[in-house]
Amino acid sequence: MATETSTPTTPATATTAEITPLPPFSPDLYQRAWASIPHPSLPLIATCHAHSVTVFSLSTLSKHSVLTGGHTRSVRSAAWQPPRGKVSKETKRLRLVTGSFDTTAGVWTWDQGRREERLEREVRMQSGEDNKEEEEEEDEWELTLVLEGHENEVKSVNYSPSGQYLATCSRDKSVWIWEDVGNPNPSSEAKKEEEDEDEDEWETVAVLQEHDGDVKAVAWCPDVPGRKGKYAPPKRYGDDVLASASYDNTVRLWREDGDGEWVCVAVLEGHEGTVWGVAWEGRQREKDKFPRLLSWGADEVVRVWSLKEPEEEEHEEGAAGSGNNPWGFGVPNTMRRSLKEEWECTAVLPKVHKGDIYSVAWSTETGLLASVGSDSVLALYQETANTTTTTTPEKTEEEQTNGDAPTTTTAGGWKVLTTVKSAHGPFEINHITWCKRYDAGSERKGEEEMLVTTGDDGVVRPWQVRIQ
Amino acid sequence: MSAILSVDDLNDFISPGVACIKPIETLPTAAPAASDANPSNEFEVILDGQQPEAKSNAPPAEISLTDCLACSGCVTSAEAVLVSLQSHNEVLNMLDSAPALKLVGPGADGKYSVEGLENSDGKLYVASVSPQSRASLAAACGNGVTEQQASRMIEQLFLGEQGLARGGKWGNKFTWVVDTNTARETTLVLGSDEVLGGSIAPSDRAATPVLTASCPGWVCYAEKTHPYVLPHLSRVKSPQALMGTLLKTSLSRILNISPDRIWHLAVMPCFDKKLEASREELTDAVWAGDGKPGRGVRDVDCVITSKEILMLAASRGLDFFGLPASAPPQTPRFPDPSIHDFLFRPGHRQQSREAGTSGGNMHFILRHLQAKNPGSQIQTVPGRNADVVEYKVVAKSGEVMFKAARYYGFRNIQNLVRKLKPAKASRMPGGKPFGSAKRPAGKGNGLDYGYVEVMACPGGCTNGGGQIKVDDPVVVDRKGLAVKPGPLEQKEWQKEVDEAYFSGGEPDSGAQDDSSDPDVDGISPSHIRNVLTHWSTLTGIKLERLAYTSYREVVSDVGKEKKMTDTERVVQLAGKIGGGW
Repeated sequence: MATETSTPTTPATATTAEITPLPPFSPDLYQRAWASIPHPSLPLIATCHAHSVTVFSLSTLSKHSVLTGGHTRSVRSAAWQPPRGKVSKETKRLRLVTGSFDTTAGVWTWDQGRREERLEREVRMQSGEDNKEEEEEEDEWELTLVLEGHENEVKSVNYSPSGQYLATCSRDKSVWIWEDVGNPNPSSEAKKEEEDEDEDEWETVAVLQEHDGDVKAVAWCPDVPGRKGKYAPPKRYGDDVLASASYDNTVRLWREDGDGEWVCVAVLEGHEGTVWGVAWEGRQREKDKFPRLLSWGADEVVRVWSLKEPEEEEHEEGAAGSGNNPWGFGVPNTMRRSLKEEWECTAVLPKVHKGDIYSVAWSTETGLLASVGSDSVLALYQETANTTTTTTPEKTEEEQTNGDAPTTTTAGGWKVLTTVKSAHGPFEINHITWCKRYDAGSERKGEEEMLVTTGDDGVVRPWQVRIQ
Repeated sequence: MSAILSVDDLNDFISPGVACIKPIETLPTAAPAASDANPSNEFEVILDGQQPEAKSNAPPAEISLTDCLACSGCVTSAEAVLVSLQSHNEVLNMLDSAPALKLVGPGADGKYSVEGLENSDGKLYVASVSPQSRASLAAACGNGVTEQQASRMIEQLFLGEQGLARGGKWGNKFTWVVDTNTARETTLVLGSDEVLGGSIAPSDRAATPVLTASCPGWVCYAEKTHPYVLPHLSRVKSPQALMGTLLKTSLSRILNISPDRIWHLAVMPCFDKKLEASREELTDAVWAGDGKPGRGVRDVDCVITSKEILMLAASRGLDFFGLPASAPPQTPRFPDPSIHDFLFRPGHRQQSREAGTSGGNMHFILRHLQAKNPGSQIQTVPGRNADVVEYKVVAKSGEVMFKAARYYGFRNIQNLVRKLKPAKASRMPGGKPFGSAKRPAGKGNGLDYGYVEVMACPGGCTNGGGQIKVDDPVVVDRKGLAVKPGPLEQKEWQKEVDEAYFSGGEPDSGAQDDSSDPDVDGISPSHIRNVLTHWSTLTGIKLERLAYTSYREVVSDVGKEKKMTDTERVVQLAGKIGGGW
């Protein structure tokens, strides 16, 4: 495991990259915007700002629809329901969950079919008395359910890959896991009538209270082959893995233990300040290794974490699993082994930001990373060959602090490709994401990747990324 | 740990200085620094018997736990108050306040008298001990120590010459140690009659489904967060509260002394029981006054947890585990023969495993119904996790007569309260009504339960927040563990505690009553009803006031946005907690 090469699709040797701004989405929001979440398959991106969410079209780079009137305080985050079951070509129904400072999460449904029906009805009613004028555009999105339970501001919401679970987290220091127990397959070819009658029903399956501070973000591990590959932990738990990042400087990983209990399987310690976010590796790794995890935060550091691969002897000798454990309860060794997963920090990215790092995006196509933060800098990083696991993080940290920051562009197997200063002028950048291009300027619509940044200036800006 | 209140929450983001209205009313203008790392230092709590320790600057503001209960500002901050308010130190302070009252008698006239009344601080000390606490201590002893043996050790601590009496200013000890299981059996019969419409059901019965209200964490949460469930809460007092009322009413009436001359300590598996003891609904204002809740003499003066028993012993320089498990010294007879027999019945009822670890309210109702309907059966349907189970009583004919469920733990409670919540109008103009409730179409309202046993702690009361945990130094030390135990070890440990809980004694042959109402699960409902009637006659107080309680919505301005904007709030919070967005 000492010398691994990175995946074949990554350019093995260093390249140059160029990031150029594209015209921002219109209209400007003119108020602080928090995050922009691309739809997993459709050319739509949802931007959270103030008490609303504006959905932009990635084709026209302009407003598609607005979700408004459902929250009494800022909407901090949003998540699209992943496509479930067989997705019909004509997906007529969208579902977005919003997490708000008003302590709730809202489940919103946009139903094209129902909308058409209503239009027909209204046309019919037009002949007679009409008192429904005001309903026109605004009710495309319907707030169908409010998830209540958190005591304080909801900071982040995220859907598990199958859409079965939703995680929410809050300043109340808790992470909640909800299960969608309503219509299990809304996008299947169910009869129209049934679709209309489907129920929004959610159950609380876990309230996780192990963090000692405000929980800033939650993220589910994507359903990549590595999640269940031979390097995945022994089959004790369910496949879904949730990561949570907190003001307590830690990242925690959670799994379901088979009895309906969600347990903390790892605590990732290393950050020296609030951990603002976490992101999973969404690209298949060679040998289907388990996806890595990124975390970043107020200490201006981005860390890469890897699941420690089991050593051969440990498979043979049960007792070695959890080290020297003279536990006297007569628990079989096999039960004790790897209750906890061992994660280690395998890389620290070269330091670029001077201020909190708020968001990092990991491309599922190229494996490139992009980060933004309070300093309005946008940085792009690439993993260099042959150094995936050889450098110890301690050493790289030293290197960084000793050397001059600007000159140290390579660390821990990652190098900075390029940076953009003042990417949102003097304003903080709250979020960055990779998404596909569908606009007229793209030569490879639906394939080419671009970056989208969201800032305090209310601007949602796409960026073209050229790699040579 | 209690899922809702736990000591770990003491360093809450919203420290009491920020969230609590009370200090603002009474504190001097120089408010304590909100960034103070230790919120419990921010104000002092004064209670009788507690010597305020000299603290540096600000003079103490007086906040009682009752104030905290009246405020929904901070569920967690109330904890800071309660921990300092009812502690093993307070027990020692009370014991040292004056020579204990002494029960003398019976004299030639059969009457009892009390010596030592001339010192106005003198008290008659009585302790009631929960079976879960005995189980926790038994497990901590290890080596196969049973619940009964732990019970004797606790009695030695409170009553014996080698116990608390060995130290302190006056060498005081407790007069009686009683088992809350006796009160438990009474609440089971009361609860069953409430749900099934028995002969002693209260005049205003709870709405269906009736929800258990003996878990103080759950009651507190419901009162502060989900007031719409309050009509469903069982009106029967908890065993702790009922025992308190029984002791205070009968002793004060028989001995003709004020109820504040009786000092009642309860030993519980749960921190939140301290909250319960401070309820205005559970004072002599209700049974001696106008019947309305008020600040009177509390039925339970102090609650300490299982773990605090160890601290209590240690503070007197005693090793709890070194106490003899031999029969404790003879105690005076309770000054009423019927109540004496009731409280000190030899041997005790076996806890049945099906009843669970929280007293078995639901199980008793099911058994009672089954006993009334020969040939009927109890069926169990496991839920989505170990803390959700559905039960049915099915008649001989196959008809489902009654449905009930067990919902333990905070996350499962969420699903219960959501189903009970009335649907709200949509916030969207023209939108459908939404709410946490299910849509009326389809499967229908899933809550056709007659009764739901609700407990805040996953695993029930043996897993209470006040129990000795596996990572407690005492356990780590006694078991010789070299590494810090984790969740799995806690699970194993919990099994040992449960084992001790169910180890309870020889099945009770019991005093059989020749009545039409047969025994249910080892309890004779008619016998219990007779005792209740006797108690009511003895004290001249209606059963309604003795055995039932009430609940109220807790509303406060704290946390509601006043003139402050979101931004100001966040700036304030961010500045104080350093957390920001």
